[in-house]
Amino acid sequence: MSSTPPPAASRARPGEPLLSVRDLCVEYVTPTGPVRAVDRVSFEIGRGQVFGLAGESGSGKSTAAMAAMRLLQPPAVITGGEVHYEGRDVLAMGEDELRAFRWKEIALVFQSAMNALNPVLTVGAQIADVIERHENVSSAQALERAAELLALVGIESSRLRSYPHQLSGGMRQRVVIAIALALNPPLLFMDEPTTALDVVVQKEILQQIAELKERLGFSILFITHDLSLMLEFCDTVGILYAGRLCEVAPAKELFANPQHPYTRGLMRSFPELHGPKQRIEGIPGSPPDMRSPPSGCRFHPRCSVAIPVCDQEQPQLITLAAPALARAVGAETDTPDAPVGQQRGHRVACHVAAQTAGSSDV
Amino acid sequence: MSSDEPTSTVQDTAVSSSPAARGETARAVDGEPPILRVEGLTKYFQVGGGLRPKQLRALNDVSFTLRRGEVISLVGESGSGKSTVLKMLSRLEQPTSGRILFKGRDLLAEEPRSASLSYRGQVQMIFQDPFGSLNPVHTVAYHLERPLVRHRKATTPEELRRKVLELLHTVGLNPPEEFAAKHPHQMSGGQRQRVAIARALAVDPDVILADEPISMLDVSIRMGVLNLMDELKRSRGIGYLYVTHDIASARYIGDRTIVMYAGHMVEGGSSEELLDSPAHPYTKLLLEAVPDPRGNIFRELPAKSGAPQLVDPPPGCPFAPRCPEVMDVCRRESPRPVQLRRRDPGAPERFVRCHLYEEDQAPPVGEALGEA
Repeated sequence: MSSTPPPAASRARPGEPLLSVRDLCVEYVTPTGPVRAVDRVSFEIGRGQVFGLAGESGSGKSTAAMAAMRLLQPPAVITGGEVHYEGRDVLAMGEDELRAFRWKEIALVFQSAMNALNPVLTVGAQIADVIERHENVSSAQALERAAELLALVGIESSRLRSYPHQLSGGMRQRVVIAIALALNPPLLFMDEPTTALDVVVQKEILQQIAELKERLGFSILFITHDLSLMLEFCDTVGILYAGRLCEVAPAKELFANPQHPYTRGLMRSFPELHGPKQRIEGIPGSPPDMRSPPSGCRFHPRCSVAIPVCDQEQPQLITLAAPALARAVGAETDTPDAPVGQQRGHRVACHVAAQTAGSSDV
Repeated sequence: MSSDEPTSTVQDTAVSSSPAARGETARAVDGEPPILRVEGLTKYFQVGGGLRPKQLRALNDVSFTLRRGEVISLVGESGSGKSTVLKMLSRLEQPTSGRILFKGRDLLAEEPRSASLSYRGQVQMIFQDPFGSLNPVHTVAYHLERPLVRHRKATTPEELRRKVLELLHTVGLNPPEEFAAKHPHQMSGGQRQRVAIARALAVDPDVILADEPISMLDVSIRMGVLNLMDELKRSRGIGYLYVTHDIASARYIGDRTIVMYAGHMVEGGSSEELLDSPAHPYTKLLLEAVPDPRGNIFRELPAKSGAPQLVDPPPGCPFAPRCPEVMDVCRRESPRPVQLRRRDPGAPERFVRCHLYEEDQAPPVGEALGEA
């Protein structure tokens, strides 16, 4: 809990996750009492890794990520847990420290590119603004750098003088990504970055992000409700339900071997593009009202395999035995040496899965 | 309508001279006549104004036939004209040219200015946004009573009440008494969309126009809404036009799927055959771009993104500037629809508008997701 930032030399401490979130709790203060939107959520993001938080609306995925960046506004309050970034205690940072921390260390890409840009400023001015604000450079230098950034995301530098309305949705989203990359941050936080875009544009932008990630080596905290997209894009995925993490696993392993009944339900909620047409049911019921969440496992009212203990006791996230299946399926994954923090294998919070799959020592 | 309308390249309709369409005519005679037929529907918008006004071609020569108890999925990206089709059919927009035949009646001739109450009682619409399509100050019961009263489906208060509860029960909002008293903000998105469906059902329609009805819903409840639509199709014989950008859900609910690009119908056929063996390069591109959990993010797309030129478009195929298989003819001539051979002769006809194909050619097999 030291308030002095460590020297820059300590930045590349090997073996340590870039961002570590432990038992994070966030509550919204409402007239009828606090509503716990994020309940003891823990995850880690290693260097160069893409960690995804998936969940339905109201599951707390954005709230958890915003809390990790200290971007929450009242009535949302962080009520517990720890957030460490390169060993620095993010929750203990003062205002000045936070201002330097945001954008230089963690940058944001919001969902709607249409609203993220200022309509009365040129694209170049908006990129240069970020650079001038955080770095000691002249306007001319900042504009020059802005042109480079545009080129980086595949837009001609002549577009510096364009206004947002002159660009397509996909181009605007690329500009927002360029702004996020302006200070070369080690961690990018992307909240539904491609949701409003057509599939072809979406694929192109994600490919570009993936290429830039390989080149520049940043990490990504990726948020989306689209599970297919998430599994395709992320190294590791955490599934949130009603504010709690119910399953965390490497993406390919999660796809091949989902353990939590909710995750399984989600996997069955997507119709197939090929093969015989089968009726699929989705998941019966709807997500709980967070003002009065169900007791025990929050998924139990919608769960088809619930046992008596499920509405009594909250299941803990436990690590499952070595994912044998992952070896077979994961052959095509391109993460041979995931850093520490990603090697936690497959964790699930479910009484039934714990019984059937058999847990191992952590 | 205007006399200089483009010659209607009739496709997929009973009046076409193609062999496949003639087969359809025969079926239409001994079966039921189609509820809805669209012929050469075209919509141009004037843009720019001033001395040199330009034409934005939102919809070009769209023709199809919807039968009782059939779901046609219209798939395309933003700007493809899929929603414009619905706006014409719901009579919120006037087409520039073309005909809408509803149960054989020429609608634009009979009701040129706006739709009659009777038409609106038979063709209903479900909108994308269940948060915006219900009035926040009124209860669910109010939303359902309005159409029942307006269309004289209930005469006494008791009957009205009974019908409201029946509707809620039909769309799976139980107990109906409880839901009838709720306000929109007390319900989830999925429940609101069910109310919107109940409201459409109130007038006992023959056709429902559904504009991206599940795209704003959480994934776990999407299938419930689609399954409900499917059940209503089977039990009541309702025909749907289902507009979506999600090609997997188009296949799931659509008996037929029509792919739209730049206001043109570029390909159509039975949903399964279309997705298993897409013929048009654009359809192939769309399928490749769908997120695939098994896939590799770096897998290259066959073509780049890019918006088609809708204002004063150049001659030829609208996809030519992006097409990986473009030929000289593609930039000169607009391709005419050709009928492809079907895997199952009983399946709805397959057509494609692409110079790569000839009449009765078999579509390419399984090129979409190579390894599948």
